[in-house]
Order: sequence, then structure tokens, then C-alpha cells
Amino acid sequence: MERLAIEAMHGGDGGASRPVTHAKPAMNSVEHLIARARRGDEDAFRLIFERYSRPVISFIYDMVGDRAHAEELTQETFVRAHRHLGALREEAKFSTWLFSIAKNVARESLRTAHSRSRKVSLDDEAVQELSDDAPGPAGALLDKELNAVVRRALAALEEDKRLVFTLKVFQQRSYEEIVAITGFSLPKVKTDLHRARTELRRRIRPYLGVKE
Amino acid sequence: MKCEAVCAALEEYFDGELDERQARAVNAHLAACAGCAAEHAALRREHELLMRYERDVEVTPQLWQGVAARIAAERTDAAEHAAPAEPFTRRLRAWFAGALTVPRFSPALTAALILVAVALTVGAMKLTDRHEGKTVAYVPPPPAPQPGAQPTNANVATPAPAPSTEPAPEAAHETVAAAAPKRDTPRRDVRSNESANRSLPARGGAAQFQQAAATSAEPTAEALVREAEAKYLKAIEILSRDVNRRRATLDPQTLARFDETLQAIDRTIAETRRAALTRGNDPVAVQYMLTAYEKKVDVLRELARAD
Repeated sequence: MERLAIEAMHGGDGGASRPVTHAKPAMNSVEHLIARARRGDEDAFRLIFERYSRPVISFIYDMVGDRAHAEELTQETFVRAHRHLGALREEAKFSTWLFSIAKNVARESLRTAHSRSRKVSLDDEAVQELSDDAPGPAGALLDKELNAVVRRALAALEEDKRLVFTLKVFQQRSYEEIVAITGFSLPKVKTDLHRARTELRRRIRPYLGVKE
Repeated sequence: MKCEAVCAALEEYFDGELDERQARAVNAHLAACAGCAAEHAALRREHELLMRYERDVEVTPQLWQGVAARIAAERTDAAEHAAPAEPFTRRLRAWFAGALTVPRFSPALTAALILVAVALTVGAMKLTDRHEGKTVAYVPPPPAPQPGAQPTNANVATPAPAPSTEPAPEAAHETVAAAAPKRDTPRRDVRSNESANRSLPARGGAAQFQQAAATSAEPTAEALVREAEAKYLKAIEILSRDVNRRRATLDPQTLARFDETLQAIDRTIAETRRAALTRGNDPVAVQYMLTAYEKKVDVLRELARAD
């Protein structure tokens, strides 16, 4: 199965403060597409979906850790976005708005009994397998193994920390955008991010080739 | 800037969240301090490693199809729930009117409406055709015989057998009507050729047509056309309702093709209707218009049955 490379996730406007690498014609600007979608133009909303579905599904996958579940929640995110498109006030911040919906969808899902039980099992597995003493490869890391390690390390993070870490590291959002998406205070964002990094670093240290 | 302060700000520096002055100070410290520079390098390596993370997830066409289907379903629901937002009296009136006029079993009613519409279409076309014939054949009562008048003139006043009762001539007339760009000239020529010894009335054909229609107890061609159109519109309304209810379950590509077809038919209806109105119910335009209505009914019926 084709996998999504992290580098490929950062298409779209990437938020209001992100530099845009490719100048896009006004006709394809997100503001223009939103205006068309609000008038019932399904093609316009499909283009919005094509532009944002990759980062959204990656973000949700990082949050819930299950492919089928991530697909289902991605659909729910875009359906909600379409439903409430009329309520969006700042079209330029569409990406932030969309991610706040995705965050709500993912967190609601994580609060279900199924998600909780699944997370516990992942945590247990991760905690057992990713102890500081776990043996790791001496140098280069196979991508497959790295993916498994990162996935388990993410699953082991407490939910708020995982949310902030994913938005900052994988979605490359600014602190200001993370505050807007999560509703957390700036100090909490900074604290959670620092703790998440510290925890991730501890878990992937064997693969960094650094002796601390 | 001291090492402790730099270490505390290192992540924000790496994330590009420091202001310009702070960033410049950290940058200067990193250039001079090997320990802090190593911390910064470790942070960068860690980030590069995480950037290699690939997820076992992809955006499939089914993902969009699922979104599109759910959006369509929401639209249908919204349309169906739009009525309760109206005032109670209006809803009651609408329900009452609907209970009287809209059948409970829409396929049966639709079929009946279509049959009526087709029958009316045929009737309208025949009537139009017959009136066209009357336009030529109708002659006011002859004046008192004049000395030297040709006896053939008297024969013209004798009503010819009604074309509508004779299938073969009727078909011939319809063919002529369909081929004729205008309803007056070609058919008049045909009639003139058929009875070369008849003399055409001096008055205009349209006036005679109106007079003939007014004196007749039969409905006018225009009335039949309007009635057929109304029946088609009713059938279309009912079928559209059925189709809208089924939209969420239909394949999006099929749905898109049907929508394009329907739009093309709507354009044809609008154009032929305009032509029919501006040319005084030109039979050709009327025929095309009613055919377009029939086509739309067919398409909607097919869509309502599609899996």
C-alpha cells in the first residue's frame, strides 16, 4: 500500500502564517473555493477536500492510530466542515478551522469506550516495548521499524501532548495556530510540546545515535 | 546570553517562534558555545528522524465518495425538513393540497400523468394539424351566387372529411408539419395542390384559425399544449422528488452524468418553449418542446430506478 510521506502532507495553505511556496491563481484560492462551495458547488468542495484531505487524515491517524478509524473520522471531519461552511468567518484561516474540527472529531472518538480500551492496549504494548533498555539498531534505522517505533511512541503520549506535538512537528503549525486549533493557552502549548518532545526523545533515543 | 537561557529557548528557536532580537541572540550563542550547539544539532537530528515517519494511511477515491454521499444525504434531509420551518397554516394547507393532488404511490401516478401527457401531446399535435387544415379549407358561407360564377367554388364550402378521422392523411399531415419550418406555407401549399380547383379564402389564416377554434366546442391546440405541459411538469416534480430521495445511494459518477443530461434537456425545453411562444405555437417548436419534456421524464424515471 502506498504510504503518505510526511513531506507530502504539507500541501495547501498550511495556515495563514505559513509561507506559500507556489503562487496559486486567485481562481484556485481557498477563499474562492469556499465561496463556490457555499453556493452549492460540489466540485469546489471536492477541490478543497483534495487539497486538505492528506494532512487531515495524517493528523487524525496520529491521534487515533488506526487506519480504518482515521478514514472514517476524516470523512466525518469534511462532512462537518461542509455543514458549517456558512459559519466560517475568516476564510483565510480555513485550514486552522478545519483542523479544529478534525481535533474535535478525533477527541470525541478517543473518548469512546472502544478507543479508550484500544489506547490502553497500545500503551501497554508501547510501554513494554519502548523502555529505555530496549535494544535498538546501532546506526541506520529501517523505515519500517522507525514507523513502528514512532507510532507506538505517539500512542504512548498523553492525549493533549500528542495533539500539540502532532500539530507542531508533523503539521508544522505555529504556536498561535495550535492555540487556535486546540483552545489551549500558549503556556500550556509550550509546556505540553516540551514534555512531548522529551518523552519522544527518550523513546527514540536508541535510534538517534546519540549518547546522553 | 547564558547557556541556561539558551537551552530554555532552544525549542522555540528551533520552531521559529522567537522574535528577531531573541533569535539573533540565540544564534550568536550557538556559534560560540559547542555544548548548546550540540543540543541544537540533536534537536535537528530528532526532527529529521521524525520527518521520515510514514503512515499506513492514504487518501482513496472511496474517501471522497463517502464524503460526497453523506453531503448529498444531508442536502436531501435538509430539503425534506425545510417544510416544517414554514408557518403551521401554510404547512397544513400544503399538506391538504398534497393529500388531494399527490398520489400516495408516486410511480403509478407518474405513469398515469405521463400517459395523459403523451395523449395530450398527440391530441394537441393532431388538433394543431387539423386546424391548420381548416385554415385552408374553411371558407365562410358563400355569398349569393353571382352570374357566371364557377360551380367549383360552391364545392369548397362543402366540408371535407375531417383529417383526424382518417389515419393515413393524418400521418401525411404530421410529416409535413414536422418537416415544415413554419406551419403556414408548406401545408397550405399541400392543400392547394390537393384541391387545385379550390380558391383560397381572402382572409388571413390565423384569424380563421381563431374563428374556427372559437366556434368549435373542442379545446384549442394551445390549451391542449398547456395541459400536456402541466402534466409533464407534474410528473417531473414527482419523479424529481423520488430521485432526490435516492441521490445519497447512487453512484456519484452516474449521478453526475444524469445531472448533465438533465441540464441539457432543461436547456432544450427552455429554448423550444421560447420558440413556441414567439412563433405563436409553432407546431414544430411545440413538438420538440413536448418531446424534450418526455425525454426528461424518461431520464428521471431511469434515475429513479437506477441501482
